[in-house]
Amino acid sequence: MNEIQNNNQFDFLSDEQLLALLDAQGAGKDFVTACREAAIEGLSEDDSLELKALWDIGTELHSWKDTIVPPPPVLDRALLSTPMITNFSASFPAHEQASMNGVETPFSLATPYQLFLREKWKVGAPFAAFFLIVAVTFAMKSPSSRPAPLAIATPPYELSGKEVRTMEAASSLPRVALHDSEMQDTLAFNESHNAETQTAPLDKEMAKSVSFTEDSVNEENNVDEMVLALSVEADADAEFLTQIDEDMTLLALENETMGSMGTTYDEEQM
Amino acid sequence: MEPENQTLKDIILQAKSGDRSAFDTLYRMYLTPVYRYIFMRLRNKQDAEDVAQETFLKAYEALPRYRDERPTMLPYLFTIARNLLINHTKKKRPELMEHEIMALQAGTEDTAKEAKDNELHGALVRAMEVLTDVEREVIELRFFGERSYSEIAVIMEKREDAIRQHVARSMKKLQGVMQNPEQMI
Repeated sequence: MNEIQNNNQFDFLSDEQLLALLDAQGAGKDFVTACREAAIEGLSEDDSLELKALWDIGTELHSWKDTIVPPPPVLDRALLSTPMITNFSASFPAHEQASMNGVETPFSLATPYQLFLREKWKVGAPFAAFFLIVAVTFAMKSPSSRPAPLAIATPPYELSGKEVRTMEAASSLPRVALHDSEMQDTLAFNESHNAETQTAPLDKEMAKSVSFTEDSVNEENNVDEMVLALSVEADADAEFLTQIDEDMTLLALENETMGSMGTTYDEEQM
Repeated sequence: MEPENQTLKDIILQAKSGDRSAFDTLYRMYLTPVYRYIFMRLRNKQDAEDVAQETFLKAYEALPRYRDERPTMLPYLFTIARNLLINHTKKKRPELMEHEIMALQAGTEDTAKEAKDNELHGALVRAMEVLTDVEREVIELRFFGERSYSEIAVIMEKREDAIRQHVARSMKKLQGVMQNPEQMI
């Protein structure tokens, strides 16, 4: 046991005087003033030194106390690791009672996470809605999810010989692809074609062939348009003539009728 | 600065009736002395924070049953803290290690003054080891918890004159040990 024999210590000082001295020290008094207030008088030099040493211990304890401050996180670090109060029932305001069920951590004890959870409908919902809209919009516009353009499949009707020839001629030329696969093939072809153009002069015969094919396709398209225009014009003329014939027939019929009626009227007038 | 007595009574009553902001005020008002007392008892920052938090949780939980008419809750809080500390030290008795003594300093910067303070605090901590448990607790409540003798008497369930005697005797002991460190062995 660490008992200290101190019977001969502070014989000049009663406990009450010592406590009065410490109280004065706690109140911020200096040593001399504190001694006077504690009615400590007539001390020898050794006694004074001894008392001053005790005073210093008190000062040290007070200064040490001031260095011990709860760190700020202790206010908020709070109660994530400690259980929530479960058997506390108090008369909270009605509008709070509904959401609390009588159990709530005081504001200063709550963590930001807990506060977020409490306010999630007020705070989280608008942000969630906004990000959802942005995400959906982005997904709809992204190339990977964009629907492929309508592909020209085998037509459900029989192509005429001219159409078949036209399509064959057109497919032999580099053109805008309609299928993604065709697009890839065309791009690959164009790249290789460009590479050849840069590295070697274009074969003249091939150039002529391509040129001829293009011209012939253009000519065929022009002829088709002209034939179509002429046939439309012919149809229109035929309709027009038929209409005229019908009109003439009706006119003759009317004249005939009117003529017979006019004779009868004249005869009656007469 | 603490509010007037009547204001404090009102705050305590409001907290009892479930006003969370009132309890929040009490928490901020009383945390520091409670924490200091717990810290000195445990000599471990992390454990002190945990016990301090638990103290206020227990107080909040038991607040509807709080019947004290005095304009302070500190004796009540210190009593809760003390019971928690008893349970805590049963599980984990604090051991006075040199590095822990150095860690007792709450400051973060290792300046020359703080180093000197650490040295003084270390010597004081070692000196306090010669005190009995009761004497040491009395000193901690008096100087670190800043409790009056009457409040310490309530907290420790002893008579006030006994507490006064303990304080006086403990201070004399400390002075003797600090002057003659060999007495610590």
